[in-house]
Amino acid sequence: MVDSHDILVLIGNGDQEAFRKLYDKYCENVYNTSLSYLQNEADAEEVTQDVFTNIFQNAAKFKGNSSVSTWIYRITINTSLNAINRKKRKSFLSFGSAEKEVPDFEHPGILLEKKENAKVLFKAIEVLPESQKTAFILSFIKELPRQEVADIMETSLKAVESLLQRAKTNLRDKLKNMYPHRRK
Amino acid sequence: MKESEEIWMNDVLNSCQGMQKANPADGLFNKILNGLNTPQAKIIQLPQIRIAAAAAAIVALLNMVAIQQYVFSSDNTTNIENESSLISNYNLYE
Repeated sequence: MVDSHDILVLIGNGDQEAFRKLYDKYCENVYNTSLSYLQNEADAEEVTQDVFTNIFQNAAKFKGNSSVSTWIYRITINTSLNAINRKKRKSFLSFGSAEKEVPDFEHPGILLEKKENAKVLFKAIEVLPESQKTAFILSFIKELPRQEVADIMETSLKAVESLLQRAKTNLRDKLKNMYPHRRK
Repeated sequence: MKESEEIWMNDVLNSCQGMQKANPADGLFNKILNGLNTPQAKIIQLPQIRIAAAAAAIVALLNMVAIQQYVFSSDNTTNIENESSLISNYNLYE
């Protein structure tokens, strides 16, 4: 049985069949992670395309300092954050263009009875600083073990816990203003 | 009221639990392969063109101001020189 590292070596030599195997193994993860960041299916597909293009072009450079999964997560997160920043710059530089009202994001995988609450959560996540957003998405949406989150973010477990604490505090502050039965 | 708000917040924060994974479109892999096989042309985005145009306009404006100031100061210098030559002609004690 060929492991992911061996597959990367084959991809580094231009093996497209190996590339297909890697894609089949990781595309759901990449797509769902980028969906949590971009909150838009078309943008998430574009990021997924960019991530796998990057993987194909850089497979030969993978040194094995981390697991393949961790490496792919890092590429996905960086590509997603860059895409978000590009979108913000594009909207800032659109002189005089009318701002479109963006509908609340409905993740296709959320259970029906939780859809409304999830819409609120994704709206609140949008305003988190990048590192808190990453820690929260990986821990609570992707439900990865804390240590894996620390490995992906190249930081300590303690730092991840601290980021999550701050993320939750910021989210609660945001949610207070979004509470549907709030007295004004 | 506060308790219900707290319950609601916890429900929101936990709303992604049990989430199913979403699937990308079926043809995405072929799209990726096509992208790898197609040479990419450099595209200059419209905002970049706008920024370049704005920078060029500012440089042109500064140049116009500089030229105007130069011309104005040249006119003054010529007048002063003419005055000096006129005054020297009226030196009564030569």
